[in-house]
Amino acid sequence: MTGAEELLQAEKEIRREGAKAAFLHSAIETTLVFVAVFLVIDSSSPSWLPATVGTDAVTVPGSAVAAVVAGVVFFAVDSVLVYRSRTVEYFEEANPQVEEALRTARDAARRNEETEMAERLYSDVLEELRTTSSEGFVSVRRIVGSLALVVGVGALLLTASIGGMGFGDGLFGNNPFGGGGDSASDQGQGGGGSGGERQYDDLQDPGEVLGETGEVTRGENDQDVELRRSGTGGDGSGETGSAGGGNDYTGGVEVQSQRAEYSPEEEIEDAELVKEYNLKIRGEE
Amino acid sequence: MSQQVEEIQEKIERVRGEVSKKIVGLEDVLERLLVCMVCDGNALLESNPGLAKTMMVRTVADVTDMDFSRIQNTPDLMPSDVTGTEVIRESATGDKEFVFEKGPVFANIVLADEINRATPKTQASFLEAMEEEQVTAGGETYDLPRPFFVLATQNPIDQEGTYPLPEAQQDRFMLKLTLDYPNFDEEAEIVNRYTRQREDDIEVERVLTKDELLRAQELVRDVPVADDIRDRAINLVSATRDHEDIEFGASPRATLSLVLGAKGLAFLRGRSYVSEEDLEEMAIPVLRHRIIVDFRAEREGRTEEDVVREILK
Repeated sequence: MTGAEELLQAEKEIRREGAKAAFLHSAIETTLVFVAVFLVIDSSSPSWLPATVGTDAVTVPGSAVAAVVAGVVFFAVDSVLVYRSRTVEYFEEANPQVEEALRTARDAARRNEETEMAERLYSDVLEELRTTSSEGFVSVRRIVGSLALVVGVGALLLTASIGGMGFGDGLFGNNPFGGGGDSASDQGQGGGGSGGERQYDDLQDPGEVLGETGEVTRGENDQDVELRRSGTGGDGSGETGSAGGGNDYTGGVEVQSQRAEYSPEEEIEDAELVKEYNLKIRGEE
Repeated sequence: MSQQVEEIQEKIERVRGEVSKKIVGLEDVLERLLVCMVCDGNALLESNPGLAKTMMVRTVADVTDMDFSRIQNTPDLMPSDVTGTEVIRESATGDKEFVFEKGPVFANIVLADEINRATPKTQASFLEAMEEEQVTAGGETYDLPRPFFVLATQNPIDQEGTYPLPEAQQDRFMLKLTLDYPNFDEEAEIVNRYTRQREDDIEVERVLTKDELLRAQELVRDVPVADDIRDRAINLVSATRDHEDIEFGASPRATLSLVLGAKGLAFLRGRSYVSEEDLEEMAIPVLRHRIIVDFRAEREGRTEEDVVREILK
């Protein structure tokens, strides 16, 4: 095998590595798509989707089937797209130490150059490729990101199922709140499901959840208070009522102390004055 | 096989080392000079007097085992003074015959000092020798020695009484190299080195034979070039033909020189392929004497180098 042939062989090998990397990316991303589609469909239960698919012996939740179909389609499209992007040029960019040499060697090999310098280049490039990893094809960030999303969405699915939020009943057992249903049959949380296949009778009556209903008596706390003013305040002699201390209030009935209240919207201008008045009223009782 | 390539590359590297024993600084000029040699090209060297052009070329000849001749061009220099002439010579038997007396152009390295002082006719004889690598006299054709390398110098000042090389003839020089004055440290080293000893006291070793240089020239032509780098060279040269600041663009010969020069530089640097940097580094020395900026650009102070740099961006 000549140097040019060896190099073209190496190029094929690089393309194969690219295909492997494309498969890896697509597999992980497809898992993410599967889980996400399942989550969305299961939570919304579209009317066009049957709750279960299969025979009497084997039934599979409709949401799972839809997720599988979406995953297959996504895998087919994504793997082709990723494979096309994982070209030898991509490999060259990911490995700058061989970039120009490999590019030149590929062009020379296609021209079938077999000169001494070309052979030397092939030899150098092949030697360099032996120590060059194809991991440049793998986008670690993309994979880690996809895996994190898979784990996150999976955890959400699992948690929601355990906590009874309505997701994943197809996979994790009964869903207490159901899901989906048309808008006409929606009843608060999750709706009742329009298909009628799911039975959640125990939760149709909110009384079971909230307890017995009954009449509640209205509270009453009316109090008569008589205010009488005495003293000299405000007579134009330069003394004010407050300064003269002549403001007297006497209650016609006993006034029980109450918890002080204020409206948060109102600003208490002079807390000390309020306190003083309060003390005076109590002192006269 | 590969070992031989490395051996030659190593020897050329040693040439640089030997030349630097005599020449202070000018590393870039020396490198491009060697590029020219391994590409079997010729160079036009422009500098002010006293910048060691002659010493550099003579030293290169010394370390490469090549014949060296220097021709000082003057207006009264005749073509036959360059190429040689037929003289009548009497043989041992008393017969008289015409014998071709080879001129100074029959050397491996020819330094044509101040080529623009020679008349166009003499310049043409030089350039014909450069192009054909042979000389025709008295109906006979004589091959010039191989390798053959002309280094012509021009003085950028003192243009009175000169015959500037026509553009078509400048195009035949693969590279145009310009020399700058040395910096302070380099000049201090020059002073130290040459005020304590004479030039001849510094010995240089002969490290590269003619055959090895010829082999290097073959190898340089075999250096592979990627298609995209070749295309970039073509686009670069083409761009000089359409640029608004350029009156006359470079010819396809410039493209050949650019790619070949990039190959030579790659070879000198121990590589078996041409990189983008090789091409970019060679663009100015290859193109600067092959293009002419128009009057407007010249009035604005733009030079050929500026335009080439702009095209490279």
